Amino acid sequence: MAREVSYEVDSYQNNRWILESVFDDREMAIATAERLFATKRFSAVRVLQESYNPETMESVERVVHKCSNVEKSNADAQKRDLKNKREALSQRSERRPLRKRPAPPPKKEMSLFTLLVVTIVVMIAVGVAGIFGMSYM
Amino acid sequence: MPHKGIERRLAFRLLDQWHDLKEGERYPQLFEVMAQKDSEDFRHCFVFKVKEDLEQSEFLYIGEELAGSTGCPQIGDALGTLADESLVALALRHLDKVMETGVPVSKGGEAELDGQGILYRSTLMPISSDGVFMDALWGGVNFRFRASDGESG
Repeated sequence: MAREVSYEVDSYQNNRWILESVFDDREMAIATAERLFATKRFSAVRVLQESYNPETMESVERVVHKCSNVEKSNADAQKRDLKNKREALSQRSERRPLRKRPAPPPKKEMSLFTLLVVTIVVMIAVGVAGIFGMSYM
Repeated sequence: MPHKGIERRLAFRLLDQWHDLKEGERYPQLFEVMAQKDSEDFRHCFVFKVKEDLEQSEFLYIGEELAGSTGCPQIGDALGTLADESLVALALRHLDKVMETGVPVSKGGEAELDGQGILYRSTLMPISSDGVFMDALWGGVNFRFRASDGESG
């Protein structure tokens, strides 16, 4: 014997699920749940599919649709996050590539000639200073 | 079998009305529902007062679209006298579920009406004289012929 399937629309009120209506049609149940959620009277609405086996007299329930403020705000936050990431990526690609800092000019080494001149000047200065020093003693 | 189109639209409109009329209460009040008698959708509706012995429950209103159909009850008739092959009887197939849950139940199916196959959808909604205890039922039903030779609702 075939299972009997029904769809229950529940609303979340005072920390518990309250049965609102029963359908034999999944799409109608989901549409009703969405219409109820759109009224903003409930923080969450769900559709529960109940499959009843008349032979075993057992029923299996599973949630086939749910809308809630928490899930909605999470989804909104995820969308915002994704949008921000996309914007950041697009801005990064628009930036100019970084330039390399120019290398400092190489220091010039003192030439031999300059060194010789500097040594002579120093020696003359020391000599002159020595002569002046001795004349005052 | 899922049905789309006209059958569903009436069910949605009736459910919307039911929700609007109850205004935060558990059930809409009987007098408020009866005040909708002039609306177009009410032509497909019926209302009956639930009695302790369900068979003795009495019809208070029968819409025009149903009144002309085969085996349709008259105002004042008891539920126990309802002809099995009538549209109202089809709509009441899930009466037990409404009585058990106290919430609107909408179901559809295939049936025979005047020897022709139809697809129908009915919606049964609990109502109350005082807004608290369910003591009346508001039903709506429409159908279309399975072959594309006619349509109602």
